[in-house]
Amino acid sequence: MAMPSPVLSLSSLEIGYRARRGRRVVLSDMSVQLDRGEFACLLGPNGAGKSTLLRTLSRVQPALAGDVSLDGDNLRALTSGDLARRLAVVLTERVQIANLSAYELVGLGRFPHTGYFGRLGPQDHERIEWAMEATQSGHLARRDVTELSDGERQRVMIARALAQEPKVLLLDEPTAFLDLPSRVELTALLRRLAAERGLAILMTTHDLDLALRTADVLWLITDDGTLESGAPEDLVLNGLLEHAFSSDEVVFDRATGHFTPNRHTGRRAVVVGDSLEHHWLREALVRSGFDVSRNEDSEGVAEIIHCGVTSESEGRAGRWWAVQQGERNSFASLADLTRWLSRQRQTLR
Amino acid sequence: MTSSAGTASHRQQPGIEGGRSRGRTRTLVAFSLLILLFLLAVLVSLSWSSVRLPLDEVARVLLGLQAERDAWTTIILDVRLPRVITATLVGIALGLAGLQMQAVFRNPLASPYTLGVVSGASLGAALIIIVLPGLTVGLYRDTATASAIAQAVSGVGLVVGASLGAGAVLLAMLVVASIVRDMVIVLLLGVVLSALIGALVTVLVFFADPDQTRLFVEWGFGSFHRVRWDDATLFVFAVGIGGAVAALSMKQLNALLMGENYARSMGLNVRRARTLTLTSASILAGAVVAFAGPIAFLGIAIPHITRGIFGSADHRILVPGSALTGASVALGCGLLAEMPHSNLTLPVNAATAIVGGPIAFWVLLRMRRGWGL
Repeated sequence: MAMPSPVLSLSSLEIGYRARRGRRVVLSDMSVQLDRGEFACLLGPNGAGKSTLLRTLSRVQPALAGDVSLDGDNLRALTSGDLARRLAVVLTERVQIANLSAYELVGLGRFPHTGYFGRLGPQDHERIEWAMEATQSGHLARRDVTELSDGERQRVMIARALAQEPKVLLLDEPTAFLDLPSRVELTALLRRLAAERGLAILMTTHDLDLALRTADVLWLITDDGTLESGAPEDLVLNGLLEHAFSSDEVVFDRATGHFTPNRHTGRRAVVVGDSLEHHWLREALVRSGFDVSRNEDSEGVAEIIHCGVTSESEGRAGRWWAVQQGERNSFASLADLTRWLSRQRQTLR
Repeated sequence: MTSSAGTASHRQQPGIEGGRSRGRTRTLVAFSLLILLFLLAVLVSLSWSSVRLPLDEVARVLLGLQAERDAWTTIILDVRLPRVITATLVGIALGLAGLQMQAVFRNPLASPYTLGVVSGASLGAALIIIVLPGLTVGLYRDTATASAIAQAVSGVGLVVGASLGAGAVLLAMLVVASIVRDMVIVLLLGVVLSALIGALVTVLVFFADPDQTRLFVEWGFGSFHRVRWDDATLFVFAVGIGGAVAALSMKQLNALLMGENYARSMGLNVRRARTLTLTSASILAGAVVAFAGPIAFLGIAIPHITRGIFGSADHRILVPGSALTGASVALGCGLLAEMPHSNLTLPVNAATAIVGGPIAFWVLLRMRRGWGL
């Protein structure tokens, strides 16, 4: 079976800035690839060099060493027109242009394909319509760009990039200003675009949960200043993700793929039960700084508390209960329970 | 006029097909009306002034036929036509230059004079009006000869002085603009340079005698009367160059709508486009200031008025649109400045604000969110 040839490939790439005295290396020794049809998320802490990498890949700034090959050709050797026909970007800049319709904005993406006066021919209109349909933004065509919501505008911006007919699409935090449903929708859209149109898509994001669940590949900036890539699950299992994001404040749970605040409180809550109520009771206790378990193993624990859900038959006033040092309390809501817990903690101090 | 029509057709044609044709009718109607308005403005400007000439006589003279009186032919061809051509060129030049500057700086307050062209020209004019006579008196020690020279100089000399001043400043600023990456810094440097040169001019005016001061102040009012047939060719040439650059860079200006980063990502050579556009805008502005004085307000207002008329951000519409709108508005200002049926004439700069101000006010109030770039 023939391997798909990578459309974007980095070999021993070193990026950073040339300063007056020497140079400041941001990331080095990066050798990763992206294939046609792959949707990749670039992850890394703030200031790790995500934007610098995107800027280098789109040739806004030169690489310090190593090579980038874009659809078989060295990035450095491409003319600006060739580059624009192979690679399109969606930047973090908020584009607000009065009197410009979404259709016209997408039409601007035809820049590298049109003639000297930028006249749009029938084929250009065809590509614009295709791009808007692919991003489900066709119904926005007549609207002014300034009237669009953040989510709508982001879809139109992606359509504009698609109208450029690139092989590779780079997006810099496209989900940053979106609400949760729009974020999920947009990410799903990108994944589908990659798969169905054979695009290679790389987006930076801080949304680790979403990246873990949707990306084909993760590009992970490690703290030794290089780049690791792999399937999300691989990076969970080999501990690279945990290593990259865990700190004294936050721990990564390999089992769930979630980050939780790291609190060495020495307080343990024992909850036995598997109902939906028990699940959210545990979440509430974790949020309140408890280490939740099913057994009463009290080794190294300063304080232990039993919690549970009141069954119908008990007929008590509260739905939730907590037993501390033999004293039982009932609560009408989880808010009451957590409030009581934090009051307990303050009196203990 | 068209916003309600726009929403109505929005309902009829949802979807992508509607996006393709949005505003097409409005564009056609607006262009037709503007061309009519321009032709009307030309005819009325030729006919109305201190003396009113019948329109049909104006038409006869323009067509090369014999007018009822020979004097009319002279008035129309030698006095009014140059004035009409000056106003038209000023309007076209300032409309285009304003549009280019606002596109390159992505700033609604940018104008053709943002880079300090006016201050340079006024320094040149001040040198010609104030310093040169002093020098000639010193050289000839004969007031009669000196004043004769000063007389000659204040015509052609003013044009030369103002163009040299404008040219020096714009060259300096173009060098700055090609070195400094951040356009906001370039804009601020233009403001600072203008203030510096303005201080020099103030010093010159402070030491000038009252007649010279008066001449200089009059230069500052702007006028469409200064261009004779002989100078007109050069003015036409300068505006032609600027207009050609604007026409050839419509696509680039559109790409710049989204900002320099996006423009670069689509393959635009941003630095080259920027330098070319600034050069063109400076030539246009410099020519206006040299031939008609520092005509105020039109450069900043015309592009906004044009955006309001066409409801578009597309420079393929705005470039010809601004030229047409600019020509008509400048002719209107010239007409007002002549104060038809009276022996008075107003300074053109008062007229530009009186005519342009309310239009710009109305357009800006009607503008939706965002400002059109």
